Amino acid sequence: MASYIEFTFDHSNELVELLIEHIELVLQTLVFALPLGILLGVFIAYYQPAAVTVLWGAGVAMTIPSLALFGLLIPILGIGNPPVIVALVLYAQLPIIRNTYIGLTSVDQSIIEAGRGVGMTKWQRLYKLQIPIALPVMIAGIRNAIVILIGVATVGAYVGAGGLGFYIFTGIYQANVEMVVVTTIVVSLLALVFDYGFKSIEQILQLRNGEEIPLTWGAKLLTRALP
Amino acid sequence: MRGPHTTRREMLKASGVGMTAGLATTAGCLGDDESVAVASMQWSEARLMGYLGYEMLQENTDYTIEDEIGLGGSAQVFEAVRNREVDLYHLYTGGAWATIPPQRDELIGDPQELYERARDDMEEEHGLVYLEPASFNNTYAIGANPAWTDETGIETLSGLAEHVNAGNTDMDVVLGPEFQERSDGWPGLVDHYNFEEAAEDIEIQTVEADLTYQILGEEEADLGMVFSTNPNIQQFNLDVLEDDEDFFLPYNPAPLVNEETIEEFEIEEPLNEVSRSLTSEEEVIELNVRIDIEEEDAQEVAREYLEENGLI
Repeated sequence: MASYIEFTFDHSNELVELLIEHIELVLQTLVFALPLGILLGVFIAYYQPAAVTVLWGAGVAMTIPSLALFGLLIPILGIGNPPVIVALVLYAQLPIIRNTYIGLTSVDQSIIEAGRGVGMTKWQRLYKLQIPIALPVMIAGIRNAIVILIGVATVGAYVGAGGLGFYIFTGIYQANVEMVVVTTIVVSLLALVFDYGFKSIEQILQLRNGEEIPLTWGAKLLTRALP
Repeated sequence: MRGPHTTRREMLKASGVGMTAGLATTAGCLGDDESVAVASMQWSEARLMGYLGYEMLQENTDYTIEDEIGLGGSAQVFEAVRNREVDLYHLYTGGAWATIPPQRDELIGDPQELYERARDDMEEEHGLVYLEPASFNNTYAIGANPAWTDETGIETLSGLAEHVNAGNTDMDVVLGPEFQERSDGWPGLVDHYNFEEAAEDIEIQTVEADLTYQILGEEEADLGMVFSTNPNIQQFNLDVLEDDEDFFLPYNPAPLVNEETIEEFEIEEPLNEVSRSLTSEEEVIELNVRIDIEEEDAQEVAREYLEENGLI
């Protein structure tokens, strides 16, 4: 135990540096993965014939081993962060698309009919009715994707991307147990923090929709901080 | 006269049978120890070395030989031999010296001296017998993409040092994580060739050791760590910088055998014969190309090699 604590203190600077790189990598991925996944999810909710193909494609993308994917991407994108971001965007698609699709398609038809009745356009119905109702399911998918991303991003170290993977992968080669264990704990904590953060964001959005829900501590903090 | 004579002969014969039966029973009691289990690490050349030993013993001895080839990583196979779960595997001299306890830091360039000192370590520290090494060398090397060597005209590591010391630090280098830290890797290299200070400005990226060949081949980096007999050097047409001041440790494969196995079985000579035949790096690269690139079976390649060289 003492050796783990010692390792953490001795390497705290590098760990923080790698942690920041890791967060950057995940955020850069989300910038692409979220709009793409949500758009595809909305698209197949409206154009059902494409649903099977799109979900199948996202499922296949998730099963490609990361090292094989990097091998394919190196000739196009080189090494470092770009191939890793592309790989991570692909890996994140299935939960985001699937939950968006399921969330939107399971909205009660009578509500949509009511929206049509009061003269809402298709987009207004989507924006004002379907998305707010589907939100918890959609965000559950996004949270799922983020936890996957934070874990898989460690493999980016294989092609020279930044992040905590560097320590995991160096630790394995050096048979440095402290390095592997401490870094893995940091990765897991990061995933928990992101998951909790998105749960809080979900609650804020639900509040703005006028729902009454018991708030997490994080959501309470956020409501105070936000205007 | 005849009577007692016959009796004595019969007695001798009977006791002989008895002794043989006794020995057989003893051997039978040892269970698994009746056979010789040949193991190896998982990568292709290690598997090839394993099958060379396996096929050689299979053909040249009457023992039962077990196939435990591709058993695991270096540390696992070593432990398995030490605990006599398996009987032998091929371990490279440089690896034996630098990575297996007591993990020596000292750099020894002479292959024979390195082998002898690693052999003494194995015997004293672990009670293991390190048989004769092959003289081909699968060591670390610095590979380069040909576009870079064409542009700079650099062919040797001392040439690289000169180039870097003249202020040309604008290059991309890809290294495996282990090589980047080890004293017989990059830190030792820049120290040995005296470009430690200038090397601090060189951009180094850490990547999976197996990917460096492709990265160099795609010209995504200028220089990178390679293993000298890896068939991907040929596959991606890479140049290899000559280690002209003998920095890298020699890595000659040699069978590492449990002491009790050597006492019980006469396997030393056939294994040494295989080692003696493996002298040329080019030949080993060719065998590796057949396994890794042409996807031939390692065991088949090993058999054919032994047949062609008149060993079986």
